[in-house]
Amino acid sequence: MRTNPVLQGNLVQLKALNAEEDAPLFTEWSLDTEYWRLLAADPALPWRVQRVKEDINKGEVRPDTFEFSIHTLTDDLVIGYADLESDNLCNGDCFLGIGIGLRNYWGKGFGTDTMRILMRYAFDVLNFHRVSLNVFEYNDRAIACYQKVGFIEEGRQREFLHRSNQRWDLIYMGILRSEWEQTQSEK
Amino acid sequence: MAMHEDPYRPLTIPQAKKRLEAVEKEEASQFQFAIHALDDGRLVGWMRAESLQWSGGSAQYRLAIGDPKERGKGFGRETLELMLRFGFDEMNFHRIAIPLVSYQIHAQTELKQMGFQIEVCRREAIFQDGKYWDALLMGLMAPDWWASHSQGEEV
Repeated sequence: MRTNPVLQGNLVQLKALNAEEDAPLFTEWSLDTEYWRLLAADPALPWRVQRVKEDINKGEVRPDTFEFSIHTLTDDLVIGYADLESDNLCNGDCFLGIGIGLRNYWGKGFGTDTMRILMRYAFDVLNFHRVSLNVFEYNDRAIACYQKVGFIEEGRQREFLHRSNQRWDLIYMGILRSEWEQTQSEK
Repeated sequence: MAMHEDPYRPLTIPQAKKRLEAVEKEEASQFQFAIHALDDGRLVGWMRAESLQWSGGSAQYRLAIGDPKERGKGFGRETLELMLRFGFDEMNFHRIAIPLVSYQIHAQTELKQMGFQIEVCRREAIFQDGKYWDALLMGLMAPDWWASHSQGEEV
């Protein structure tokens, strides 16, 4: 039996969203164009803090959606957002989303630690058969991180994005339960 | 080319109405059409453009011929040809994707004939009849479609 908290890693802990604490941060991050372009296909649009608070405070519990804020273990600082969302629970597939909004925490292993927690949660707790994700062709740091934790490319929607006068592919990556179990036994 | 990845669920009339109304509410990100036969106007299926990404010019299509008796008569193919013209010539999409399950061999062949390529194969993403199947995305780009369709041409 597991005795450590399943949503805690070496650097971060995943917690429930908190409107008062998270909404101002998420709103601030929505103004960071680089962050936004690494995260989302939608055009940059500043969020309204009140709207984000309302969304979080709706208190809706959906069986197919699992949302977290990412907290550092050392000082409980909110550095990002992560989620798992399943289109259809019968198939055992879900899409993973992750964004580290605080730039000081880029490239230091916080995203990778979060990924490992999310995968453990998806396979060990939710019993999914596979985890999927999308990433933009130009997001080298994210692609390297996803490969490191075991995701492999499964194809790309060609020229999906049109940004900075260039077209970019939307890459699909995935990992099967059997592949994840393999990475666990190698540890 | 139907919504085969969803679990089977019979709908009440109010539920079905609600679904259709939900699509209409999101008219900036979805378009849907009913498919009617030209000879007597009967309804044979539906067609939807969804997941519209206006800034990148990307869309996803779904299409279904509901009555099994109406399948294999060319309704789906003609609807898709009309919708490709609508998508590329009217909506100015840069690319169109269609989701499929790996067992839909016939649809894959037809889409390839129309210029689509398999772009994404999410392994074992669908579980049906005790087996895992791959979830495919087939894509067609505007330049490839225009190469075989002249401007002003009738479908």
